[in-house]
Amino acid sequence: MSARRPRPVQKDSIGLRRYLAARMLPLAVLLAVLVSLSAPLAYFALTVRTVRTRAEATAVQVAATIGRELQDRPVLWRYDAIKLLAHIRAYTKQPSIARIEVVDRSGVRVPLDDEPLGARVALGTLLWESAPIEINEQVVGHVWVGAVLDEARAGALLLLVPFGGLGLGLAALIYFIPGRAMARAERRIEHSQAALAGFNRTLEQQVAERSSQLRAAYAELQAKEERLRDLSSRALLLQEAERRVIARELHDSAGQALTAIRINLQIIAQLAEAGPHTSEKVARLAGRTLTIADATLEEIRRVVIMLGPAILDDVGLVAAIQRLCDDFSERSGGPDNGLQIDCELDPLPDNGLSPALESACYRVVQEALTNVARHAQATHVQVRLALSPRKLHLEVRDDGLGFDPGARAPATGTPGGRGLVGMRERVELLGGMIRVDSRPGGGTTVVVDLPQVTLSEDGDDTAVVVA
Amino acid sequence: MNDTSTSTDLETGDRDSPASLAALWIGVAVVLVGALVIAAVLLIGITGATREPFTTGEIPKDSPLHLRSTVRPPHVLHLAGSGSNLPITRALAEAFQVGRPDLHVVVFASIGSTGGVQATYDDVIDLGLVSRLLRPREAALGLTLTPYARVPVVFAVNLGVPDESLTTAELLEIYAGDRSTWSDGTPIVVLQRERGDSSHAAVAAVAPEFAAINEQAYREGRWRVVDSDQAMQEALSITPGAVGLFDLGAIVLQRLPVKPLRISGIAASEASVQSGRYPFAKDLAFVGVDQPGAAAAELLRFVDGEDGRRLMRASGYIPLPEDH
Repeated sequence: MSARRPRPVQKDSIGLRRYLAARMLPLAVLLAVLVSLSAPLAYFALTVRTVRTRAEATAVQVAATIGRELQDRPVLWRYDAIKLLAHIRAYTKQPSIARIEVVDRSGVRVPLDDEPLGARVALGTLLWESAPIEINEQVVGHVWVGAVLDEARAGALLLLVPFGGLGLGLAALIYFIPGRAMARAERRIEHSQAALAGFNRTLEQQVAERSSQLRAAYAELQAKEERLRDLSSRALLLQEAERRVIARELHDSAGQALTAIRINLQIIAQLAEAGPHTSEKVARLAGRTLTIADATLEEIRRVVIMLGPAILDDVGLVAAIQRLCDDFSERSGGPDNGLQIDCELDPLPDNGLSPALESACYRVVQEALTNVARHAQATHVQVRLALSPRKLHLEVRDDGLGFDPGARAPATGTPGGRGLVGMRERVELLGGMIRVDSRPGGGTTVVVDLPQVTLSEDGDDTAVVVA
Repeated sequence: MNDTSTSTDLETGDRDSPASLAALWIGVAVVLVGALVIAAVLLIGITGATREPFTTGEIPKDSPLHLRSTVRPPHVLHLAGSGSNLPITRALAEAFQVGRPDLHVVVFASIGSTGGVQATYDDVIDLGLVSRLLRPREAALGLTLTPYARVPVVFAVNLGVPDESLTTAELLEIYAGDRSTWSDGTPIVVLQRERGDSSHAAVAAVAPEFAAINEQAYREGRWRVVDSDQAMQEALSITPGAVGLFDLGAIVLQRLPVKPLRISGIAASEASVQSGRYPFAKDLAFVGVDQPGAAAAELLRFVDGEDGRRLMRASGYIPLPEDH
């Protein structure tokens, strides 16, 4: 028992034509047979019917004639019957009429014609039609007319040739035309499938590319989120450190000083109660206490300045930056001998900016100018602040020595040093972007773009401000 | 991958193909067989029974179709046969009865030479009248043939035909359909007698091609065919341009309104026929048993006698035998 061989699958063809051809073949055969036979059979049937009608008419005619002859010549009628029948045959001109027989009412043939009309009898079976011979309304016999069907057969066979051809032609048409149409459709489907396959491949490539881009964007987003968490964490650390510094400063400076002042004031009170002779000591102790109070005030002012630019609250961002620039210009020797700083500052809107935004702008300008003063050896600095409804653009450009942005600062190990890192952190905490363009000998430009939105949902940017 | 899936789906869809295909073939076969059965039933119904619807044997004597002899008194003679014989035979019978009031001669209407021979053999009549030679089958019956007249066969035409004489060749052209008008341009209407007619045979005996032309005309149905002398004389009389074979004796005896054509200028007459210049003629004869009855024998003697021969000559017939 051999294993059945699997039928080969033509993957390049969907087999519509073969499927249709298998089903059209029996229909084509049916059509060919029906078309080929229907007309010849119909012709044969109609011709047979016509032959029967003619035979019957001939029988009626002969019977009527013989009936008259029988009445006119009861004896001699039969001797003229040969001529009579020949005459009838000559006039009827029916080639299908082969025999005319007169039959007695008992069914016995009357031998009128020893040489019957039908030399063609042998050609085929006869079809018989009869008519009664009547004398005085009594049937005395019948005339039977035998007809051959040769004409019908020959005509039917003759028709079989063209109608057979017609049937075969129609069958061929019904078989091949749908097949060809289906072959064309099959080719189109195959082309469509090929195009679809190509499109699928392109789509897969596009999906892969989009997926790669999405993965990169997701990774970037994750990095930014990580950086944001890091910044938030660092901001909290900075805030905590700042609080500790303030506490330590208050404890170490203001606390100690106030304690000393309280002790001095207690001593002064005791000396004042002791009498006038202590006035000199009181005066000396009051002087030391005043000195301690002045030192404490100076210390508190220093801390306040360190904690936040109070000048922003006093004069606003634009004036603060202008004043900062003026102070830097003066400390560097003035515009004539040292650093010239040009400010191009747009006025703030009526409701101002958020404190965090103003503080960040101020600190960026402060840090940039500090870097200029420390490292750039620049002669000209341009500070520009531009405001749009949704964005704040800050730019500090100098013509100093410049630096290589890719080089890492020795102290921090990061590009640009700790000052630039602080600026970047402040800007990115507010959702902004900072770019430092510099090259050795080509000056430095710090560009900051900040959105005019608050960082936190409740608008409290205290942590950012503190940071 | 998609291509493979598509192909697999189609292959899966084809799994039921053999069954559905077989069902389709079976359906087609059923339709064909049904159509053929219906056609066969219809054809059988149309053609009906083809067996011979009669038997052979003796016809009952009480049947009107039964063959019977007539009862004839001795003084009554029954004569029947060819229509060509009838005019002169009736004239002879009439003359015969003039001096014999006790004898009666009945000459029946034409039953043809064949019928005359058969009726004589069947003893239905006393004498048969034939206008041709006996066929072998008829000669074998043992009957006696008595020629009594020769009659010229003429191409008779309607009186309106202007032509008087034609050659045999021209007549053959007319019967062959090669010539269709008379000399005045009127169309020629050819009247044929049925196959086996004695006049046709008389012409064909002289001009054999006439038989072939006639047969061709029969097959093609070229000309009108009349089956009796009576029909021929009537057709010739009333049909303009008609031409047909007829007996000169019948024309003369019955004074028929037709015109016999001369053949190459030779008119049909006893002299021209006897000399052979006029070519077409046929012999008329009685046919009877070896020992005819007295009345029949007396009639034969009268016909062969001077009165009979005189009457025949006067009627355009040539008495036979010639050497009387």
